[in-house]
Amino acid sequence: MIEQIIASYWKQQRIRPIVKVFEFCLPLTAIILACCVSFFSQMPIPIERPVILMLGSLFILAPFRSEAPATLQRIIGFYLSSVTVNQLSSQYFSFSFLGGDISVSYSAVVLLLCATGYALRKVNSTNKLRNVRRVNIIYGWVFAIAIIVIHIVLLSLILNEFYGYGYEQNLSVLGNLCLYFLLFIVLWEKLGSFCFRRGIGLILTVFYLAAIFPDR
Amino acid sequence: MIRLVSTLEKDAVTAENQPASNWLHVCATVLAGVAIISSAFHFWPFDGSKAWQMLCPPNFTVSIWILVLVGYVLLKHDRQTVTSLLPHLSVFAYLSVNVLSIAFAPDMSRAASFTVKLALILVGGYTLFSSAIFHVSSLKMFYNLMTAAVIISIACCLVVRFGFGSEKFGFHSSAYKYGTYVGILAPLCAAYFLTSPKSWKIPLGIVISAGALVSSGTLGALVAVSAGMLATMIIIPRWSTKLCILCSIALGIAGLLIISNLDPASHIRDDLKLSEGDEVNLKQRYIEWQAEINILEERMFAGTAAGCINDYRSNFYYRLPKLNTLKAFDQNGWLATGAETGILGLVCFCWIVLYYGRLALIQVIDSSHSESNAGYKFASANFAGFIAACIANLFSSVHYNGILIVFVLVLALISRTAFLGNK
Repeated sequence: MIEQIIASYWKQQRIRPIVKVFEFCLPLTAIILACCVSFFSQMPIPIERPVILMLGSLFILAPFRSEAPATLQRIIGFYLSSVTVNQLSSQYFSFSFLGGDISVSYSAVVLLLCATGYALRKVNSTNKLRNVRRVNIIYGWVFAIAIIVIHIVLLSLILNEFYGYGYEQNLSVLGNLCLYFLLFIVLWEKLGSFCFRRGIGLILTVFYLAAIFPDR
Repeated sequence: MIRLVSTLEKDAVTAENQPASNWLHVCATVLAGVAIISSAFHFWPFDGSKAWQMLCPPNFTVSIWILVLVGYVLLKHDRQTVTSLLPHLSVFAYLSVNVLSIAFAPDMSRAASFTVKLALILVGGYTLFSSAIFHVSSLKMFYNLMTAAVIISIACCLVVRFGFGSEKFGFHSSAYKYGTYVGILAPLCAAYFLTSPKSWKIPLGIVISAGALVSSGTLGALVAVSAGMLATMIIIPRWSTKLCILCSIALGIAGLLIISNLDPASHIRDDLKLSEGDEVNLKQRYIEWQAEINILEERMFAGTAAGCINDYRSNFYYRLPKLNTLKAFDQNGWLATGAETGILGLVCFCWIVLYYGRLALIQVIDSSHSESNAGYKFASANFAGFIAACIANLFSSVHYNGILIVFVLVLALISRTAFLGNK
């Protein structure tokens, strides 16, 4: 029995570094993929002044010690990553499955990679510490979503009609909102690590540096 | 919850225990007084001048204050005092998103000037008010100054509209700007006077809230003033005060109904209509809201860039509204923030609102247990102003140039009341 426990412990110890590498690399790979797709599709949402975003990504690289600038770095890191994912929201790739064509948005692929990294970390993590700022910013998200839902209810009451979000009165805006909320959940904790922030900052600096030159 | 806020405040409070120089307080008090009183005059007398709009008296005084503060840091090398005056991290997060969103602006100058004005008031204005409120007596002086400003604004609006038959709302040319300004300040000042133990102050509170309701020309102003007053009514335990608040609301609405029945071209009647055939009403407002929501569908994170919603809005109509006369910021400040700076900008703005809102609520709860009437008076007034600002932002925007200073004033009052209470 004891031998079995020891064996499984050593097995875990051997697997843990590999899992750590995966959980670190998967979100970074997702951001690299997002940068590549938006770069080669000529940026569906035009960036008029990429130099501002490049300066933002350089700010992420700065080695701040105190908590407040580090939180700002996380917010900027999340903003820049999400802006890159936003470029993909209108782009789809198709494949055949069981005789039918299936279209999947590239942004869903990015989310899937980040979520896999997040799930790997959660499986291996024993640290349940909850940061106060993290809780606050999650409340901010919940508040923003609550405002939108209250808005829908108010409109329905005032105008006696259900007006969903989106052109065709569908719920696509709410769908997008959920996508970015999930992206926030999976990226926010990871952005707390300085090494990960540095990785994201480096990728985005290269991406926006490339975007500055018009003849690409 | 109290522990959570005290953790957040701990750093600021330890820093704030270092008193700043007296001359800095005097300078801040004078400049803050000028900024508050001059905010009542809005862009008067040069309404059309862009340069004046940029450097109107409140913006100008805040600019001078920033120079004074920079001089203070350079001369005294006292960074800690300045750091203690700064707003919460959420404000800087919101400003960062605004700055980054300039990257998507088709018109650089518009986005940059909007962001500069935003940073000037959110950071400069906040530090100015924080520095000026260093004692309970200075806090009282602030409420008196705000009362003077709101009385000037309401009296001028009533005289101009009903005395001279003008379409203008006193010094504010737009009904929306007037509604947002008075909609925030009137409940704050009225709650301050209505919770006072002195009997002569209670009628003044009733006059302010009823006057604000009678002079309001938009649904937003009407709802904001009523919501602020109702919030005060809910948190106040005294039945006599509750009755006074109800009387003031009833008086104001009755006055408004009489005036709108006498005047066939009443603004408020148009704003309440649910048909689309006329200029400004709920139905048309909804179509404008929908356009801003449609922007979110495509540019959820990029947004249109700070201050640039007008460059994109018309491309995102599900259908064009008839006789469209509304400007982007006459809509819904929450949605406009989301459409301009993306959903993260909205989240950061919500973070600001949540942080200061929670602080205001904690003050109300704490002061209701204490025996000091002064603390309770300040806490309920701040809470009323805060609720009114959130509601006013649903029908117009607190980001208006010249109005933002009032929103920042409410945030600074909440923060400094908490600080003085802790002392």
